[in-house]
Amino acid sequence: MNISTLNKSKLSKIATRYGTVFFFVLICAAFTILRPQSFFRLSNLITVLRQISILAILGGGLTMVMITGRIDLTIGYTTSAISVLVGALMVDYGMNLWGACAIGLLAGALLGAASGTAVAYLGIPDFIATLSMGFLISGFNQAYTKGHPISNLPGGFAVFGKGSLFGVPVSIYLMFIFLIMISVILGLTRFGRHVYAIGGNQEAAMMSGLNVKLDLLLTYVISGVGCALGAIILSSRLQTCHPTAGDSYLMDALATVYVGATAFKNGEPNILGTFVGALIIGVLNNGLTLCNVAYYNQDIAKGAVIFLAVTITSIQRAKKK
Amino acid sequence: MEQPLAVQMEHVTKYYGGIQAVDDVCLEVRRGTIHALMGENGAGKSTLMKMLCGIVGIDAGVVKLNGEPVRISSLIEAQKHRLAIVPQELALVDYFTVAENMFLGREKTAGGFISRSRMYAEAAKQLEALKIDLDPHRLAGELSVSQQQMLVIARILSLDAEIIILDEPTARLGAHEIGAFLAYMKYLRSTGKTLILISHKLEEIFEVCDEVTVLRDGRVIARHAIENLTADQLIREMVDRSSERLAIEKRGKALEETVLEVEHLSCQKMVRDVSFSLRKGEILGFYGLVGAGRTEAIRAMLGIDKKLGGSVVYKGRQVNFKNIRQSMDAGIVLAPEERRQQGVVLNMSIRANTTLTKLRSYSRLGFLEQRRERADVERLRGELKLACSGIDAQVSSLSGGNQQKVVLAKLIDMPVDVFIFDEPTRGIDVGAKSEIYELIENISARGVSVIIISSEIPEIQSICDRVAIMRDGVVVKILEPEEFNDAETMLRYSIGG
Repeated sequence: MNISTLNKSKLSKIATRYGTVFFFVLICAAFTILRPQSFFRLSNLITVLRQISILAILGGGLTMVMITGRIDLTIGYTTSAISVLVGALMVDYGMNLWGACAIGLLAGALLGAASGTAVAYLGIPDFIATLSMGFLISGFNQAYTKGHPISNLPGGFAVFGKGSLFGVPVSIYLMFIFLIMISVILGLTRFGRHVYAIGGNQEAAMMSGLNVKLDLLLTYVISGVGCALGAIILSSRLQTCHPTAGDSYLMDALATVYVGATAFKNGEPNILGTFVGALIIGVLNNGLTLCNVAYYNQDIAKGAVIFLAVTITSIQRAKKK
Repeated sequence: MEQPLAVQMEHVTKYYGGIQAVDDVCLEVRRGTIHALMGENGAGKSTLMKMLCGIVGIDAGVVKLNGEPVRISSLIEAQKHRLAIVPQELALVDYFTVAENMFLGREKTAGGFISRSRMYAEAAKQLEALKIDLDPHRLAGELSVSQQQMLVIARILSLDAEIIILDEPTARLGAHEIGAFLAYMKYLRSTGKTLILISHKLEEIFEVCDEVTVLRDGRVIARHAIENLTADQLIREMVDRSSERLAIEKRGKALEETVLEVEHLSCQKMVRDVSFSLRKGEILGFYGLVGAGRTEAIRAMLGIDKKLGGSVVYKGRQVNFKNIRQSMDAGIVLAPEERRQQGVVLNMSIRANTTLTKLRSYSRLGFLEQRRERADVERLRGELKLACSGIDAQVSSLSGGNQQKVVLAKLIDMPVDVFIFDEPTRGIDVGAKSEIYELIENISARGVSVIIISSEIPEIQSICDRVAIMRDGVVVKILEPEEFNDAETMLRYSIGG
């Protein structure tokens, strides 16, 4: 092999691994040029991170599920439902906010366990299992609230969405804690190793004596906990618990994980990638708003940019083969 | 009366990588006859037939049909030459009806739309003419295997096939269905069709065939008219004599304590009656033709597939494993046959694969002690002479032999009493093969009992203490060393001659 082909193959490897990151830098550069006064500032960076905190948390849990080759379509509905649950516990039942949040997290885990049971133990295909579970969760949520939001939340509850510590919003801390937790689980624990093995070759994992069903169920539990955490931040920020407020996060979270899968690892979902994916979506929303693009035109730009990011990496990968 | 030749394959050759799967083979089949292709596992029968009907390309040689040279490079082209194959895996659309399957790809239409009435009427008419008793309205998925096979044949015949290849058509039929199928083969011959039959079953060869070609190691060994042939002669020709040189002296092991006792094991898939015992430190071979149910018997025993009946006594206790985790915990491990599908996770590192079976021992409060893991895998890498750039390299970057070593590394330093290898050297080069034999010997020398499922007679002869022969889901015979040193004996029991 001569030097130039070596460099070429190295270069294309870098391009497939870091193409998406490069693309992110490109977007930032573009907005910096377009809005030099407002975009590239610390305060705006914090704004972006605060805006993507819920999305990154939901995407983080979803990443775990998607590494096993499964999907979780309940996440938006679970977020809405837990939001209503926490609100109802505080407002209708007078529970203190820490108790309500703890029960919310537990309920998120239980809803995840329900999806996980349907997929792993009842053997229902993951797409339809979580789709129908999502309808059920949303349905009970709507039936309970009759579509009305819960407001008059206790004042202390605002800390999760609006509070800050050393000038950094609490929700950013929560996002990083959750993402680091998932990274640690995936990279350093036995369970994390199982998750990768199941995603890589489920049959070999089974033949190696892994309890594949239990491991699959646990990935859904973690996704459910992520939804609950997202729900707490969301309702705290809005100061109201709306029965459909979380629904729309599903599509963005899916986009986040898919865009993230094109970064760092060859098409496999990974946490760092998911974070970059969330950043791309966050920076786009933020930058387009700064550039006075009307909100009804923003989805066009978002769709185009995500499509382009995934296309470039996919072409690179196809070339490599 | 000599019939003209329908099929002539002249000096055809096929390479897979560096290996000659089919080596300068000449095959002649007369029109209106049933011609048997016989040979051991891997003799090249199926490859040769795939070459004939265009599924597999031909590297050298000429094919003539009815005296005319032809080039067939796909099944569709084969169909144009009125040549068709009934494969082992029947390809039908389960939720289409018999008629829809028959006319798949050439649906009867009226004004651009499918005309169901025309299609069913036509199907009924054709089935009757073919003397095949099938209801055109039934769904293919609801048919029995033998009916599905008849449907495939009906489809082929309705496409005017004159030359039909049947790849082990009776392998999955019940005893009561085989007679009717053989009778139908004779009927087809009487209508002037030419049939080529791949089969392992001597009795059916002698019942229906006119001529036999014997293959061994990709070469034609002999061709006979059936009248001039005896079962003994046929078996002798199928066996590779040279292999017997490999048989080595067995160490005089004292084999007394019984570790595992299996009696009358059966399961849904191909296992009807399996009984054997395994003694401490013994290497027991499992020989049989492909489809005899060896892998399936082991899977049922370990709880991977559901058991229907029978008992398993392990270390003096009746056991009933519900899944492979339970059998592993009990100390019985399996290095599976399908290495890439079941043995390794290709896109994970050597290190992660190696410890996947024993992560519990590296885990403290759920966290992995990666330094200790790394040290152990490095040690195993040396012990197994694993050729790799490093233990963090992906398993997909390794050769077949080294992938197999990773599979063994997964199991080798666990507390094991029974080690089962399923085709441990399939697709592995000679050098790696002898290393793996050495490993198996070492494992056995530690007092571990070993079961080796293998389709290679020399392999079994050179390393096993005893051999269980399986045929049609039944352990038909357990052979002692003096008996299985003779390859003919092994083959005779596995074929049933």
